[in-house]
Amino acid sequence: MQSSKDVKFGDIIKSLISKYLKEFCCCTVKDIFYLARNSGYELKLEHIRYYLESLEAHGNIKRTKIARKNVYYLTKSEEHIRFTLRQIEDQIVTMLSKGLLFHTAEIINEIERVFKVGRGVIHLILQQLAFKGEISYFFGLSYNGKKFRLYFLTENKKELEKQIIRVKNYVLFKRLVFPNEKAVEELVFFDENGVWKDLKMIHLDVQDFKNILFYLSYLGEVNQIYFVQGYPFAVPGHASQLESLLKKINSNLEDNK
Amino acid sequence: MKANIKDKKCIVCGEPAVGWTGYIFYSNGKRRVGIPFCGNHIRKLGVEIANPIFENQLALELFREKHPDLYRRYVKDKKVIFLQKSQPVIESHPPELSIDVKPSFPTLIHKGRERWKNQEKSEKITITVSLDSFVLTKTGFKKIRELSLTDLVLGVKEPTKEFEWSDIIEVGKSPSFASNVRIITDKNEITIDANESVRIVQQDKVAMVKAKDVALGDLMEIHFLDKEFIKKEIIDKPHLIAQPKPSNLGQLFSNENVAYLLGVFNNIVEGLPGNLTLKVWSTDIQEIKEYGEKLQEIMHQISNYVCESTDIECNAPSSFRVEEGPRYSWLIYEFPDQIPIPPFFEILKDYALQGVVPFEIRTSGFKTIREYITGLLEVNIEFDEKWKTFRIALPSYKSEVIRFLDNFLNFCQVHSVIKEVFTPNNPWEINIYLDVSEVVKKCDILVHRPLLEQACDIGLGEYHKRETLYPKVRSITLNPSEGVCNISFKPLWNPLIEWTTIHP
Repeated sequence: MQSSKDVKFGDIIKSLISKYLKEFCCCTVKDIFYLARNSGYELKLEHIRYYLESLEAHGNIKRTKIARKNVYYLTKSEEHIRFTLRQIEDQIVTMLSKGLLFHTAEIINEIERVFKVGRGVIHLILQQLAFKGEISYFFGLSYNGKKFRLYFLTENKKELEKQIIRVKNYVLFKRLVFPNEKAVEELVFFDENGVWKDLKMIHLDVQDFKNILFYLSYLGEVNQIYFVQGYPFAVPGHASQLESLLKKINSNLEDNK
Repeated sequence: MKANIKDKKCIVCGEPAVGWTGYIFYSNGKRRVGIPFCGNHIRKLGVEIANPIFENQLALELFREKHPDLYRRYVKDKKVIFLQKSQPVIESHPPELSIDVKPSFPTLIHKGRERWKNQEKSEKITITVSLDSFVLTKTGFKKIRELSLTDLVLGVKEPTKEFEWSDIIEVGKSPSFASNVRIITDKNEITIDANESVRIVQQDKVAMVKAKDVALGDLMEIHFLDKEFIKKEIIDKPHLIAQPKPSNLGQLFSNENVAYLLGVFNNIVEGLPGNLTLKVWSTDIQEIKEYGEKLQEIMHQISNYVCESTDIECNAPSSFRVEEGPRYSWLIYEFPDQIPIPPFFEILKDYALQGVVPFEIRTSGFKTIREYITGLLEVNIEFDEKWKTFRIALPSYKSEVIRFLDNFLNFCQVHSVIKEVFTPNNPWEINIYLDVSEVVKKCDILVHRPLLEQACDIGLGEYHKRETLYPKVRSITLNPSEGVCNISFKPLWNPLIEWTTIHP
């Protein structure tokens, strides 16, 4: 038989679950876990899973599978959920069609502004779209070694490949590149046949440019310099030259003092 | 309608029969289901007695040729019963033979029925034919779909139906496949179009012949090539057309050090002009420096060798430095007085950047190929934190190199290799997960790099005190919550030879 303490504990979790499911129309187990933790509740994932199952058994909530993982929602909002999930998918695709490359966090923030769903659900929808082949992704790497996903529409693949080659050649030519608007303007003056091309035709904004550089950094084609403000990207070999030069200058300055 | 069982006698001993089972295989390829057996022998069918019963010796040979898998499973090493001959015989392996073969080339055992007859007179060897999305298992090739949780070798299953080679033979019988030739080796078989060009070695000379003209004793190259390959190779290498090709380039490439360096150059990146820049993965900067020194020594040896044997200019790098990055570090070799990279190294670099395995390497001996693979492995190896295993990551445009590596590992019977395990939509990088110690032992690799040495010492189990490779990868596949663990549905590269379809 359950003790009164257990009953209370269970009731708290149940009320938390139903509160979050009312607020965010659908959530994953981890969504609820993080939301509860942010509100000051130290819960375990197993507990949340257990009470979600019990609520589901009583018919209060329902679940569906997205990318092989469970997503929970209130039974009464079943039809609304289906519609929302479809809308999110469409929203992601339209968002990706506006640019070339998008960071996962950018997509999630954008979707969160429009739809009230758990962040985990958006992750899963992205994964599902990737499995379907509608969107693709590759990895980017930040200067501190953090790996993240960069999503793009599969149909943009060829265009993206072209841009990657352009960016790579530009870095090789410049040796040191800051991901800013000036760099993007300088990026391509001529097309493949040596003809002047309108900059508007390039469809590459600073964010895309930066993301491509992150991708090249992941592949080891460029290096990101951590000791220069703004974390510029450079040709491999340039950073060590720059570092030794800076050391020399510093030592000279110290000697002069 | 079948006759009454009481009237029939056992086909083996003549005792009154108790039931019908098995089938008879005739020399014209037809079969009849149901043979009377006594209570004693009916249980032994397929265990001690071969199933089917054969009309005569010719029927047995036909069966062996057409259904090698069934033959291996139900007939080999079992008591074979003939209808026309009452005397049962024990079917055994064909005698092992001893032709001298270059180790890099698998030997063709036989082709068609005539070849099979000849086989018993002539000799043996091994062949490895690996193909694209097919993986070698105990029962032949299987298409990569998903990691099996039960198969001990390299689990690969057809999700709907497990297929065998015998199925393909059935397809081959149809008139639409009449133009196909079946090349059978002691391990595997392949059905290809009779007019498809195959690269073979005949009397130490490389030749392109049609599949129907392949003869017993020919050495088949590790992989097949399509008809336009040579043309493509020349077009893809403009520097070879622009510059006069040194006549002894093949001789230079067959040098083991040069082959090693060619393998290493697969990780070359475009760096500062006049420098050779190699990307290397390691957590320990000292280890990279140690390896960098060894590599410099090798380059010195190569430059001496090239200068002695040819007129090609080849200065060795004067110094090197290491630059650290977030994922990779770079080994940067500088040449004296900042001269441009010597022409010989430029040639090697061009090959590497195009993602091709030089023809001279592909057609050289086992030792040279092994050195090439060693270089490739040593410079590419990295530890995957998520999967807790070593892997090599190559860009997808290097599919030829990947294919070559795959064939070599198959040839050396390295089983613990998993390709492109996850990220099905990450199109620019192909990850190959492997058990380093197994690769080093089976391929008999001489290790230069400390990291590889360390990985082998630790062996199966630990790197940085963590579980590695096989058990870990498998346990991840067992856990459905981990999600992305399916092998890509697309083949790693487009097959050069189209296989007969299994599901029409």
